[in-house]
Amino acid sequence: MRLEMGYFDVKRVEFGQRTVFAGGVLTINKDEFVRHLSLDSRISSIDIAVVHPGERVRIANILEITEPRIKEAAEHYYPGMLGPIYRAGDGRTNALRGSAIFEMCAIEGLIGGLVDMAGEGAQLTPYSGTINICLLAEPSPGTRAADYCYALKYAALKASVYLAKTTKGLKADEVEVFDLKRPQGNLAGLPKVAYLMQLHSHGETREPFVYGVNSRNYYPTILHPNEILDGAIVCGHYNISPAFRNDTYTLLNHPVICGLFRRHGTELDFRGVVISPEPTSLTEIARTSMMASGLLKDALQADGVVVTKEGGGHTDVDLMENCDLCEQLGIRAVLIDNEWLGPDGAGEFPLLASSPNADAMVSVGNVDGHVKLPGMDKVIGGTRLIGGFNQDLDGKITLPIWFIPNAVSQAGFTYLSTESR
Amino acid sequence: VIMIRVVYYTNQVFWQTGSEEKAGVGPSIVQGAVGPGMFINRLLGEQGKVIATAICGDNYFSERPQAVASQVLDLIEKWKPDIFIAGPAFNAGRYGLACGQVCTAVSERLGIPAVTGMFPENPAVSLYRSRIFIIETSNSGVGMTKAMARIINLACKLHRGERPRAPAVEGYITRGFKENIITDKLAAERAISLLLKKLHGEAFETEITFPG
Repeated sequence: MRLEMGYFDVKRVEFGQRTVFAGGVLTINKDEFVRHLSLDSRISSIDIAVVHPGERVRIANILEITEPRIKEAAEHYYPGMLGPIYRAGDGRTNALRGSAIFEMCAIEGLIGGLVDMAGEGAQLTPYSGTINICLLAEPSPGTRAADYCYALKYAALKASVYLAKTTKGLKADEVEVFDLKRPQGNLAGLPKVAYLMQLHSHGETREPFVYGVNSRNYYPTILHPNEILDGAIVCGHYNISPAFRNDTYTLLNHPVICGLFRRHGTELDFRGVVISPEPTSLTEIARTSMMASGLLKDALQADGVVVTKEGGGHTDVDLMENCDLCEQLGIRAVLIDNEWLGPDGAGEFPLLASSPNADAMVSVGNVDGHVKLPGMDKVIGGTRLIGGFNQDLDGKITLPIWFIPNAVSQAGFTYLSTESR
Repeated sequence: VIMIRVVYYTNQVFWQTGSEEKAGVGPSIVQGAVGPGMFINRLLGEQGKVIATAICGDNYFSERPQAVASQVLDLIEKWKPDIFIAGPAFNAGRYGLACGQVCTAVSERLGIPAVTGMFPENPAVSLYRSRIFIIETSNSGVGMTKAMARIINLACKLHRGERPRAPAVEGYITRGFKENIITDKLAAERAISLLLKKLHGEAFETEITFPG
């Protein structure tokens, strides 16, 4: 399986006569774009806003984020979700690098994220560095919150393919090849490393989709890392902290998978990925961890594993169970997690669960921390943040970092950590 | 260049007015540097100087710490200091109590940097570590120069409005909380490097620790 990623660097996005990508400028025919996304009875109207890095703009009520992507040899992407079922991860894929599509929230009952494109907050999220194409969609009267989320999801995925279509037949700025195959003997003597990726598997608005279906319908299973980099998993989180939602953009550019690939053949032998659901009962957790660690040991023959989780404190239980069972099988484990230390950072118990085997952890920050943000020149997406934050977004705010997308990324897509003081 | 105005606090021993027999003396303040305050002047050079030194006997202080700290604060406030330095107290229990109590009062009521120094086993450490910066010192006055250099360095940093770095870097005793920091490596990269160290049997350090 060989994935060839063609990156087309976007330097500017503007509206114009025709939807076209040329010389780093993505021009969008707004009417055509909106018409294309509006063919959904669950949405009554849709507007588009574009925000560039460095602009003093605050984007409020962000729900989900993806990147413009398409297969070079087909008209689709996101198999099982938007495109037909096919195995992701092979052939040529084009991405409009440096741009992102934001699903924005217009109703109560969900949790909206906040991105400042400049100032103190900009350092806490990768999305202050992308050109953000925001889809502001109003629901049709009587639409359930979960159906509104599904509608937003399809609109964003359609937008992703529609925009990336502009790259077809063009020469990419950079091509990166993802292929685990190495010449015979090249991997000998290198430690065999795998990635165990826990997927939050609860109900509507709190679910990632694996080839179109909620991950709770799966037992732990092996995926080729290319599949995840190429759209096999789509985020469906609308109701957990924006700071640790593993949004679709993060999955497509997964930092653990990309990091393991970059060291494959030199420092380690990247054996593959096990995805594992995070069920709700201890019996189910014991079962999935047993199966996941078994796959890592016998199918992937891993010596070591990076384990990541998705969701709130209760998923620390899954993380520790996975850690224990891997270590018991002789697989050395490293865990990535956020800490819960209270606003002052003085909390005694950083996680909900712990284990003596969890002796090598990476902290992506104290999720209870706050950040003081200056006022921006413009706010889009509403002057109040949906999901429990009441300060007026027009001025200076003191914001829990809980609201900033990827601030404490559980996939490790953040520079944040904690340090004793 | 505006000179940094320092007020310094010491006890009867370091003021060299005698030791135990003067431990019952009440608080007073004099102009300029006295005792270890000389080190501060030397370390600051052109940047600033000790404008006044407050003194109190350790026994007098330890009998009614809160009330005496309040009296000392009144003496200090009149000099309008930019930073306040006390001690270091090394392993002296009563002196540690005085330094901790006065620094706490100064930092909370005057809102200026107040830094002291103590040996980690000084009983006053556990009382004040979460509220003020205490530079870690040796257990006796032998470590005065090194301790004072760190105290001054940290106090000046706080005066400039800079955020102090980790305890090991600045030399202060951990205050019992964690702060979010921005590192220079993506968390995923740190995780992979950590795993390789663990696999190769090299020394590694976890970023999350559990109590006990």
